[in-house]
Amino acid sequence: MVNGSVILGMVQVLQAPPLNSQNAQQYLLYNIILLILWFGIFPWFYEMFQLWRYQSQVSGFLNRLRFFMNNNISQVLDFIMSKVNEDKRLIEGRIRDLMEMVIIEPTSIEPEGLVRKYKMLINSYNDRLERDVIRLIPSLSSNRPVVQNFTNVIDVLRELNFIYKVIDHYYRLAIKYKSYYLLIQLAAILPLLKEEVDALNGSVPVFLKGQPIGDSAGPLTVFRFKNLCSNLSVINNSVKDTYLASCMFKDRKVYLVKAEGPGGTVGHLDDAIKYIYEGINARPKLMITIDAALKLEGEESGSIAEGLGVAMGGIGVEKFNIESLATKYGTPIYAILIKMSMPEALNAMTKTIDEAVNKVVERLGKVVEAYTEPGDEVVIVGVGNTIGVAQ
Amino acid sequence: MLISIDLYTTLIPTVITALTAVVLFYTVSRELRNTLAVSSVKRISEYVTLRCPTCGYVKVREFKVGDYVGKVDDEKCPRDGSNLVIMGIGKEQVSA
Ligand SMILES: [Zn+2]
Repeated sequence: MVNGSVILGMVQVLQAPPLNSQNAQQYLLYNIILLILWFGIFPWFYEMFQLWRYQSQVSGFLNRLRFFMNNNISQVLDFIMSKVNEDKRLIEGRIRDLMEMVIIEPTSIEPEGLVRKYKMLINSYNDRLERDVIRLIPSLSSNRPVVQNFTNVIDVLRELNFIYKVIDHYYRLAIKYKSYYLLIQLAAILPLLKEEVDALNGSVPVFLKGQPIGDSAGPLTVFRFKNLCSNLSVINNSVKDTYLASCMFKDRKVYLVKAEGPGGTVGHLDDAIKYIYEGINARPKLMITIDAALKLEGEESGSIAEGLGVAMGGIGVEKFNIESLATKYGTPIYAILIKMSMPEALNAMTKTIDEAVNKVVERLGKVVEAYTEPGDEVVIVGVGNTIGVAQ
Repeated sequence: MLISIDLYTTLIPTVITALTAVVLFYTVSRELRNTLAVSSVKRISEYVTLRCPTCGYVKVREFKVGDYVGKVDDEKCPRDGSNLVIMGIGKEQVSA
């Protein structure tokens, strides 16, 4: 059988006819083509297909994020338009400006005084944001909690915008340079980012409504503990956004510290604790910090862990200051952590955490009893955003 | 010219194609089922726990905008008439 066409020749080879010289030639040709196909064309197709797959994953994520942002901005706009009578586009422009606000971290090439610089920066950031929100909605100037909640919303929008811009940047770079490995890296972190973005996205309506979030577990614990003790007296102090009170619990004098609610703020807990030591001249025998902590995948939401050290997240400014104070006056620091996932920490408090707070209040009483003597002084610090939790 | 049906040219590609089709069908249908399930089953209820500061009477109601923990509610305790205080606000997933 003689056939000029290569394709038909291939078919014949597959049918394994007896080898004569003509067939041997075709057989060789076929093998060469197969070799090129396997090692030249198929890997190239494979890579192209993979590239296309990762590319569509990342662009899908970006589209979703853009949709979230627009959706949130329109929610925020609805909220504002119900309060003020101004051009909608003007307001949207101002919100987008706030979302683009950058914060330049102080240089750390010489670490001297870095914590104070950070503190100054954070304070001026919060002040500026609050002023901007009042400028946006002047009628809110008398309603501080709503202004604070609104600054939280702007914070969330800024974060979403930041994630969008960074991912978009690397996505564009990957496309521009056809960089396979850059795209793979992006695609690899997408599931984690997706969780964070979903959590942030879900938190916007919660902040607008002023509901307690998972992170409010610390302040909520202090609020509930307050009901267990007697002779409560609020200590007037000049520390902004921070609540300080003293009360008696089983013959111990307990100082309660938390951010001042129900507006969304984390307060200035370090300044309040400094006031306890240096303003009131108290010498506590024990300091207990309670905070929400990110759980590991295998851990259960609402599980409670106890330990030593300052339980506090964030950049670490307040943590540093509290540690310094405790070290200076030799106060042991006890920590109680309420474990939760990131979506739980940022979204409306779930029933599990609500119940965990009651258990923490119980434990708190036991810790105070076990580690101090009657007549001692104790500081209890509820760390976290106190949104929706007054005192 | 005659091409007989043999293992390599027809049977294996056919099997592979069939398997791919089956796997694709199942993944797509499962995803579809998941999205449908999520949108129809979950309903979130936001609740508020109220407590009487004098006698400890506890009541649960729906969350309203403006509620916060520590707020003295307008609602009165049915036992002694003192105003109830909000002790907690949370959300719960209820299957509907
Ligand atoms: Zn009552």
